[in-house]
Amino acid sequence: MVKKRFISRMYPLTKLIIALTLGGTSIIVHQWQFGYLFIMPLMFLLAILDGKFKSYFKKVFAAIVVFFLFIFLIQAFLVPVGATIWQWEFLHLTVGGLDKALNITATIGVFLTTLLLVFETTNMSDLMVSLQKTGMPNGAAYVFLASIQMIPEMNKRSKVIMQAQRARGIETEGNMWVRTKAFFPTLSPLIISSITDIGDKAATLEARAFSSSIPNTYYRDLNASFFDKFSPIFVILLCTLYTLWRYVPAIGGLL
Amino acid sequence: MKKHFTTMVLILIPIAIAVNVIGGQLASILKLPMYLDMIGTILVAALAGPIPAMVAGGVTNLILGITSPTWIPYAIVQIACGAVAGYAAQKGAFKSFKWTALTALGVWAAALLTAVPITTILFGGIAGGGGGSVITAFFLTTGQGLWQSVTTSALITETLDKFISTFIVFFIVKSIPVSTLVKFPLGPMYAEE
Repeated sequence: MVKKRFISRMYPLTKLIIALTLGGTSIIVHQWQFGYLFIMPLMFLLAILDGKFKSYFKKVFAAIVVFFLFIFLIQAFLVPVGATIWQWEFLHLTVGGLDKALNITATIGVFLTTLLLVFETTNMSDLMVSLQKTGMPNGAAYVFLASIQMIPEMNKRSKVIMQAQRARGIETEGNMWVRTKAFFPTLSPLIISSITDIGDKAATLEARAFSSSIPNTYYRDLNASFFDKFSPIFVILLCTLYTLWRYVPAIGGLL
Repeated sequence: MKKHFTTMVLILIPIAIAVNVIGGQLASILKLPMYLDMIGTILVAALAGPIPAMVAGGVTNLILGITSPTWIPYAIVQIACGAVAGYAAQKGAFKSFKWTALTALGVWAAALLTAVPITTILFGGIAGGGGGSVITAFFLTTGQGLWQSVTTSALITETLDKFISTFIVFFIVKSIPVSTLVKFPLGPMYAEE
């Protein structure tokens, strides 16, 4: 087994709180430098240190590229604000538009890179255990984990159904009307067969005391170290200071 | 809470979430100009009422958010539509064709009222994938404002989508065996006829 590095070893809830704090801060401070020059490079660095860079970078890249291109196209070129810097045909690059595009993408970028790093380095079951310890009901953890398992399983089933329907002559290619018609015979057998299975699943879970109200024991156990408890407070404090530094002079100017 | 979340409902929700995700994937495999990512949510609404539907909708987008976090804000759209559909279902809307159509109208309105502001304010006009954004960009080049362009493009992609999703649920509820149906909170209502 590969030894877990620093980020992967952190307590899941700690990572999540830090990620959300950084995201929240980037909304409040509204400065693109915070995202582009500080958080995003930092997250890439952490991913490298954690030895997860390749798969992490792939995910970030897939999530960001088209999205950011469109935001720049629309915000920087198609919604003119202020003086024009550069123009070609119907595209006008404006100062205000560029600024707005940078700000929006920076905020989204902060959320994307931090959350993806959390999910890349965290086992979902561990995250659920840490949430359950703070008082989240078992049912909620079940819903979350069962969904994650169910998606690939039902996906496989939907492909089987689609092939079976193709075999009996349903067309899945052609004009939009033909393709829309192919949607129903694929999805509805999937839904109905899954629903009729629910009764059996319920019996199975109940046989294992699913809705018992006695305190649970955990198959996985996790403990937060001193560092895990301390670091979110430290990050929140830093972010508050940064927010104050950004806004208080302005308030002072108003007075 | 126990009243809303029986074991049957707790097992239904993950299935509904998978249906949402797979519906969305199928729509893109078949290259349909729709999302169709809300069928599961509306199904939970029809079988178990508004609160489980809101949970199913919200968690769908949280799970999609694990791989692409830009989906997370749109959880609000799912929650709003789940609430509308669930409330209507409690009143028995999925029993008749006419009321299902009115429910679809409500779901459509809820989706527009929540999705358009999220797309415009949070993402500067870009909705998740490519399709809608191309339409938005097109309307912008014709000289419309940002809000107007996003609304027009949402009208094109959402309208048919929400009506199809709601009616699929209407027909599915009709095809579920009564023995299974009665185990859900709102099930007995459909079994009466």
